[in-house]
Formats: sequence, C-alpha cells, structure tokens
Amino acid sequence: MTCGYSRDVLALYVEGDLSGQSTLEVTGHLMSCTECDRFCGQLQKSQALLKSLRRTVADAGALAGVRRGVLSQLDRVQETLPWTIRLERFLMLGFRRWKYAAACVVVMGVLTALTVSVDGHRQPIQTIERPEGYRGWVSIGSPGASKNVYIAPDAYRTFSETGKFPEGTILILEDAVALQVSVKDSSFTGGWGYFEFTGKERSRTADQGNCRTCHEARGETDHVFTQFYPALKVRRG
Amino acid sequence: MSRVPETETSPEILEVAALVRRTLDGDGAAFGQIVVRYERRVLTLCIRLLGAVEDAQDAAQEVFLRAFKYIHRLDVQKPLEPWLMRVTINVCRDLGRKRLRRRITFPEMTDPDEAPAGESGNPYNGLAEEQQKQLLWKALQRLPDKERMAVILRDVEGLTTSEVAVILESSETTVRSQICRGRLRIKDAIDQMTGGQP
Repeated sequence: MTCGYSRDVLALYVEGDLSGQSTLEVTGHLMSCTECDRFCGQLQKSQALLKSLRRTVADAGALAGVRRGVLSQLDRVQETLPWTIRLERFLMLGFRRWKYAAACVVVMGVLTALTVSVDGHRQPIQTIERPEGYRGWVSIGSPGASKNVYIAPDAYRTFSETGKFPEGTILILEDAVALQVSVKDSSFTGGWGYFEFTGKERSRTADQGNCRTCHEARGETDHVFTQFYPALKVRRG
Repeated sequence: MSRVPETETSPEILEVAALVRRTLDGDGAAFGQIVVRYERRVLTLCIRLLGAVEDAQDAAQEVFLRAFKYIHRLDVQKPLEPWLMRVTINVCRDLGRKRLRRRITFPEMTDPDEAPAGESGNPYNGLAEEQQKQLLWKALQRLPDKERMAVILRDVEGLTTSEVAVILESSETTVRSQICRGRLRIKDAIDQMTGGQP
C-alpha cells in the first residue's frame, strides 16, 4: 500500500473494534482514499471466509462419543487423584469455611513468629510456584519471535516513578518453550533470584549461576536488561 | 459463551454452582450433567481450533477430565463457561504442540491441498467450499498460537474482546493487537495461496 494509513487500524475497523471517534475518522478517510477502501473490501472478504468456520459444529455422534469417553473414566480419575490434588482440595474447600480459615491463619502466624525469633536473618527463597495470570500484567516488549516480557503492574508503576525496581518485583520472559522468572529479593546474592520453568512443573528452585552471571554482567539497570525495552527506557526518562 | 457479567449471580450460575458442589461431594452424575450442558460448546471449539474431528474428540474428553480433576479451583460465584473455555484453550494448545512434534518426526511427503488461483478481482471466487476451508485452515495454522486463539475466539466464536481477554488471561489491549495482526496475516496468507494480491 502506498497510502501511509495504518493497516492495523483498518483490520480493527472492519469488525467494529474501534471506538466511535476512531470509526468516524476511518470512515472519513475511506471516502477519500480508494486504496484503503479496496484494502478494507479485501479484508471483509477474508473475514467472511473466516466466519464461515461458524458453520463447523459438533455433530450428535461425536458428542455422544465424548460423553461416553468422559463418563467412563470419571471413577478412574477420582480414584487415582494424586495426593497433591487431594491436599489442595482439602485446603481450598476448608478455606471456604471461616473456622478452618481462622485456624490456619493462627497456625501460620505462630509458625512465622517462631521462624523469625529463631533466625533473625531472612533466608533466600528456595522455591517458587509457577506464576499464573501474568499475561494480564504490563507487557514491556518482545525481545524476539514468540517472546514476551511482563512485569507486575505495581512494580512497573514504582519503576516508572523512581527508576528503581522495588523489593518483590517480578519480571517474566515467556517464549514457546520456557518461562524465565526474575524475582527481586534482597536475600539473594545480587538482589535477584532467577527461576526457569521449562516443562509443566508447578514449582522451581532458584537457578544457581547461569542466569545471574549474564544479568550481572550485562543488565543495564539493577541487573535488568532495560536497554532492550523502550517501555522501561522511556519511563526512566 | 455466556453473556452474563461475571459479577452477576444468574440462575444458571446458581444451578452450575450446585452441580459443582455435588461433584466435589463425590456425585459423578452431577458432573455428567455439567458435561451434557457444555459438551457441544467445548467440542465445537476444539474442532475449530484443531481442525480434525478425531483430535477434537480426544481434546474435548481431556478438557472434561481435566476440569473434573481441578474443579475445586473454580470460583462458583463466577460462570463456569469462561473457565471451561480456558481449559479447552490450554488442552488444544498442548495437543497442537504434540501434533507439531509428531509432524516434525514424521513429515508429510506431499502437500495435498494446493488450491487453484481464483478469478481476477476476488481471489476467493470460484473456490469450492471445501477448498476454501482448506485454505483457511492452512492460513490459521501459520499464525502464532496466541494470535490463532485470539482470532478464533473473537471472529469465529464471536466473543467480545473483553471476553477473549478473560479466557486468554490477557489484557484487552494485547488481545486487540493479536486479533489485528492475525486478521492481516490471514488475509495475506490467503492472498498468497490463491495468487491474489500480496
């Protein structure tokens, strides 16, 4: 296209995904630009083809097959539930009853107090759970194909205001095969702990050297590669 | 997809919540009712995501078995359907990766679906429905995972951007950017395959 109008905007326009004001602007532009108008027409045709997939629906035979398959396996699944799931169920269902919840809070409080009194020096985190919901955090950039980096919103806000990553900051790099998690925690050597999830494991122990070496050598700001992420650079400025 | 806002407690949410509680108390028949209620929705989405009915049936079974296993994690104050759709997306993504590895190990010898170029002006004219479907399926397969999921949920399933964001556990901005890239890539891929304009 020789017209510099954004194809991205047109792709949203054809399905009514723009705000009212933006829609009016695009409509006005299309009235004066035959090239964009033709492009929109082509997009509408490929969208119509895409929507033809709506005619693909499950038939009764396939549905019955799924139902039979599921119902015949429920007992087996119930009997072979791993103990971790059973424990999780016990705790989660227990927490929905306030008496259990109150008891747990008291027990945890006592344990924490005991731990602090026995050892005033905080030990580094050894293991973390696989993070969830991070795709809803602030996405700060894509350092390569199929890679995305996310930062927790509170940490991003603090960094934007102060130029420093607060204690507890979590940065996540996700690609097709792994999830690399950096946790800012002063109990770690260098102030950061690094964890890598390569499979479906639910928890992971801290990396002992590989990540740290590179981060400490090349990370521009507090061992973080801020030089690769304009979102962080702009905020710092 | 349920259009009920997540904060509203509708009769459907209450009914499903009761079925979930009975399931957690060990009543397998209650889970059977959940299967019957959502099987069409889940299987249809699996077919649209995976293309082959056999694969989709396997995936749908796995969705319900996974849901059964982790049903205690469901917040019964919220609709079940978005959660179930999220499980469906994850199962299909896993299955898709396995299928990709299988294809890398045993590559196809030939490409059986070379579709003919269309008539001038509209590259899609003159293509039989089945050929169109094949073209489209190939174009979808070329999209990165996240874009394919977002496009199918938004444009094929007809969900709103915010509903897609909830299912994909992403932000609306990210989803909007994924569907916009996806739509353009599909158009370009179909243009290329049909010999239309690049």
